[in-house]
Amino acid sequence: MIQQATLNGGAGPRLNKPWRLPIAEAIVVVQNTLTLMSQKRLHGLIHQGRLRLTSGLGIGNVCVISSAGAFIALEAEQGVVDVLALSHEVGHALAVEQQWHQGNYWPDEVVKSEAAAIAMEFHVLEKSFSPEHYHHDLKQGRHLFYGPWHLALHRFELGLYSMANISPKTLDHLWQECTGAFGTAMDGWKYIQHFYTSPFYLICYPLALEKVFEL
Amino acid sequence: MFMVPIRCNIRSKQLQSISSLLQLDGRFSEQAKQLHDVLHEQYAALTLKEPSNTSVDRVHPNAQAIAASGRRWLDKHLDDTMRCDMLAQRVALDPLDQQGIPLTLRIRLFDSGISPLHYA
Repeated sequence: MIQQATLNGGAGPRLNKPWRLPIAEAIVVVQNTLTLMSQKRLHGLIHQGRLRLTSGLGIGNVCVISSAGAFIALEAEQGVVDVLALSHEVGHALAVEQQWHQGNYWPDEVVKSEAAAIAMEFHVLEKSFSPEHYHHDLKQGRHLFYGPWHLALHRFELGLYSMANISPKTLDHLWQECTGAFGTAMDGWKYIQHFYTSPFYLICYPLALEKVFEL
Repeated sequence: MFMVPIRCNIRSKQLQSISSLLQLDGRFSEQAKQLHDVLHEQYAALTLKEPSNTSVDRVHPNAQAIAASGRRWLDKHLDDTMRCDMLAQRVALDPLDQQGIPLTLRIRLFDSGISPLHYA
């Protein structure tokens, strides 16, 4: 049984300020924001080898459900990870673990699952201690990333269906039309994995963001 | 009296099932009559609102082909020709419904309990 839950929307360069830390420090940041029960579950996940760092595989950050529980693969560069990416995947994992403890082994649908992951990012931002203005910028960035940016990606994805001829040139043009306002590179469409592997997964992020702030 | 949880985003198909179950189980026929009437009204209202959404409770006919084509993304020799080919195949394998919405998108929305009206 596998559930895809990746964070790989290929953010526009101005949207995502990095919050990078060595993995051990990043885990402490996330751990410190959690309840005792969630800390225990995250501790179990790490010590059972269900958090792995990857490099150069091109599959992005992923949380999948295995028979042993949630399994996270996180992109790292020399052991340094993005704290919000870790928070996101931990959000997926803890939502799954909590369901299992309640006897529900059926995976959540995508929007609900992404809402849990996005909520964890904002929770970590809210609860962790760093300069407040920096966190404010990060929060703004996450709103832009999951809202307008992913809506622009969705417009591109829908636009594919109206194209008479799909070529690098016509795709560059459509990409500029949809995402030009974000100052992205001309050929950014090449690097968004979901367009190829998960049709219309990206629209689930704005829908999930809406769900987070509805609650 | 047992309770049937009614969520605001419940689908017409689920209401139909609950309604049918109530009718089938004679033990609750008296107690459930009022509830059945309410469910019936809600079902009628929802089916009017979501005529197209109820038709996608099925597997995409080309799901495997789309997935197999998309997985070439992980190929080490990925180039623009392959990228265009993957996107062109995806579009060709994904029929549009009467409202011009691709079936993969329709299924995503349906699986997440998102009404096409809300999505639009």
